[in-house]
Amino acid sequence: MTLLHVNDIGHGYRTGGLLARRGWLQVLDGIQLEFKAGESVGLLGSSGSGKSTLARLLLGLETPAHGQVTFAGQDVSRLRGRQAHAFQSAVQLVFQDAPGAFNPQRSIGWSIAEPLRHLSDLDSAGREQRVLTLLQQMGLGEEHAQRLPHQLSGGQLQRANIARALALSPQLVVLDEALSNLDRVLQLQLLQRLEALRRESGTAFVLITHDLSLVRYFCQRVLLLDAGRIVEDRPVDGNLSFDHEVGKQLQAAMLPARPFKPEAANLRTG
Amino acid sequence: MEHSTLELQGLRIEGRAGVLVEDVDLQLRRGQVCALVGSSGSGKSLTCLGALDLLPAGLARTHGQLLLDGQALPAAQVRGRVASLVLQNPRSAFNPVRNMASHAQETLKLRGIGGAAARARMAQCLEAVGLEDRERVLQAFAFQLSGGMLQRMMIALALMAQTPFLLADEPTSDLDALSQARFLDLLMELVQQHGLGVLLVTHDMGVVARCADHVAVMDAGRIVERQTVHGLFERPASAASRTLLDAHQILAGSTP
Amino acid sequence: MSVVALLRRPALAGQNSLMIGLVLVSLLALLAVFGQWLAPHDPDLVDLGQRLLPPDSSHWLGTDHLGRDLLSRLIVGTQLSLGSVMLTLALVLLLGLLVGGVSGFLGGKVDLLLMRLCDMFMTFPTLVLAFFFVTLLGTGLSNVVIAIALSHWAWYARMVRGMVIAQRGREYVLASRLAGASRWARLRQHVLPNIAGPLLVLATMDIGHMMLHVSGLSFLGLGVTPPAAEWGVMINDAKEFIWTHPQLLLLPGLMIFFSVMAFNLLGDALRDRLDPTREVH
Repeated sequence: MTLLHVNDIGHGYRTGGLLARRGWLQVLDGIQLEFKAGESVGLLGSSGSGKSTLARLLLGLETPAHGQVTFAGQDVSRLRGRQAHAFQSAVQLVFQDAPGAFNPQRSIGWSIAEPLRHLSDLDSAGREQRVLTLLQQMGLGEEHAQRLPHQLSGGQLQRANIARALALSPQLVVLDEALSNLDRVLQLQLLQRLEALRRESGTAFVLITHDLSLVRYFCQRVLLLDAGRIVEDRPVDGNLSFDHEVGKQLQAAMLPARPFKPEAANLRTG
Repeated sequence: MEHSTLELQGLRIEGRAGVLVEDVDLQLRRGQVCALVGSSGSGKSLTCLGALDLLPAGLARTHGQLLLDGQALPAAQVRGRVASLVLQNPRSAFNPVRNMASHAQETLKLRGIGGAAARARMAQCLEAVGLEDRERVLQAFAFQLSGGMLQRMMIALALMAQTPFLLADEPTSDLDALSQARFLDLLMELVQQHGLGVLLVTHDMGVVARCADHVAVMDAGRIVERQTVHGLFERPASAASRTLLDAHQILAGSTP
Repeated sequence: MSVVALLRRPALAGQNSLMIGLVLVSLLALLAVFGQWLAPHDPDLVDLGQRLLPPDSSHWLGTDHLGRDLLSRLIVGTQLSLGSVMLTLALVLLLGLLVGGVSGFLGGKVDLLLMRLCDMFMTFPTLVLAFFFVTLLGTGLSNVVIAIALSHWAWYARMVRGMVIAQRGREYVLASRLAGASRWARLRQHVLPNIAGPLLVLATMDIGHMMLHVSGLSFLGLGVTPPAAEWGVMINDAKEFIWTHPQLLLLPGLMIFFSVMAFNLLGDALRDRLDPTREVH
């Protein structure tokens, strides 16, 4: 079942101003995609490829200059009222910058419960219970619910961020470079949890990243984005190798599993 | 080779919360990369800053000294003359209202180089780090350049300062995969061709695999393991390094 | 940062400004509220037989040109001066938050319209407005308050608008939108609380300035008029005695000076505490 349709999306921004010549910066062009239920898709691209803009368009945070993103047949950037709520309960987004994604004056528990307050029928006790379950699911403890954002580490905050996105058990979660600022150990832990969630509840994921190793570990399908266009769309299998130049570059850019400098006999231990 | 070793001995850093780093010894050699690894909170960034006496307010270096070729040297003389620093967030290292040329001139002036000789040296260093379009880059301000270009500019400034050693604190953490690869390639080229001695602080075992000759592993403010890079990958001795290696190898695909 | 969070922050150097500011401001507040009972004499009691006396055991600061006790008048004057400033500030903040908040959050045509309104009001100098209202409504403190409020609210509206626009794009506000919060909920729960702190600092720093306006306008005869005990009026009354009895001018002047200083110290200290780039260890 297709959750999100991306129909010939084009987007850009006006450049120039009072003193410079007015121009148009094309950020995305001719994007045609489908995101299906239960799938984990990787959106791979370097900085400047347009991936974050695409993330915002998928969630209806901006209206595309051309084309439409539709959910259940309706344009996501024009949803209002009950339809908007239905969409928000089904599709969620995790931002890259965890500290910026929380109101600095409110406790983590309050922020995680926000979607529950606006989009669910749970009463106060029900919400509290759900928040604790979500925290536990992400490897955080009860005590974290009362704390303020500045009292948690970057890694803990990002886990709380994901917990909030999962609050209403959405069908699709978009991770916009959400793991990029975390260390390897935490990246792996989170991907393992999300994979477990996908197998148990059928949640679909879109992992937007520049790191091919994460895509290789977690995704079933990968879309390569370069200069605003999808240049390759292929399944992730054992020997992941791209045809497109940018894909090859990203592959070559992956760091080696083992040291590849020749072992010199005269290197002293330090 | 002149100035062939830079040693840090007995570093100890304290803050209001107590002792954060203790008993840290490190040796840097020209033409080699020493990686300092640990997870977040292990104290590796503080070690890097503490070595050069650049700790933020509220933290103090209560013990430790730097030795250049066996001779003790105060941190103030090491900074900028013997060792340069490259930090994680390249944007914050530049004055936002001054262009790159202005930063370069400041560095070169401290070396006593000015005028035409300065301009020639700037061109040389920018070329060495692969920043083409020199004129545009020199006239640019920090907000006009990407993260990757700014990191390379930091290296260029280090080259201009002609320091034999470089301390790099998570220099690629904020960069995307392609910029990271280019930066590390540049770093290795400088190590091999110019004999740069590098302390590379990182949490990523991939960076260690790519660049390091020796590795020191930190955990809870202390060094818990010291090995050559091959030794570490084949026979990790501490729990901290095993944790980091496992995660790395799973994601690098060498363990299913 | 909320006011409560502000006060809970651990102590730091520069705490002295905050303490001194707080102490002075509390003292002034006490005088303003309890002035009538603290004053040793009736501030309006005219006794021409006691004119221009130097300080003595009965009149600690002497008497003015109408035989009224100076100390009592200074104390009671606190109520008028401080009270009117607080009222003005309340009006300015209310209008500023309302217009600036709506303008910044909604954007578009509403924003354009409201900003043109602000532009109009920002062109009126306080003095001109005060003259206008006096001509229209006569003298009196309320007219002075209205005049000052009307000439200042637009600056606050612009400031609030700028702060709101900055907050609106923050990711936690976007996250709130994705969580189904309405625009009003986002404004109320996320944007406004996070601008309250910096706004408070700006307002505190401005109190001194407004106080000078109130006293200044009263000095010019546009606000409070004699026989009211207001510091500006007292200075005006004492003009003729500047060479013979300078204390009649200096003492109310000093009260204005200390009040302005107290609020500036408070504002300074609050701003330092709120600075997000400052590290707290």
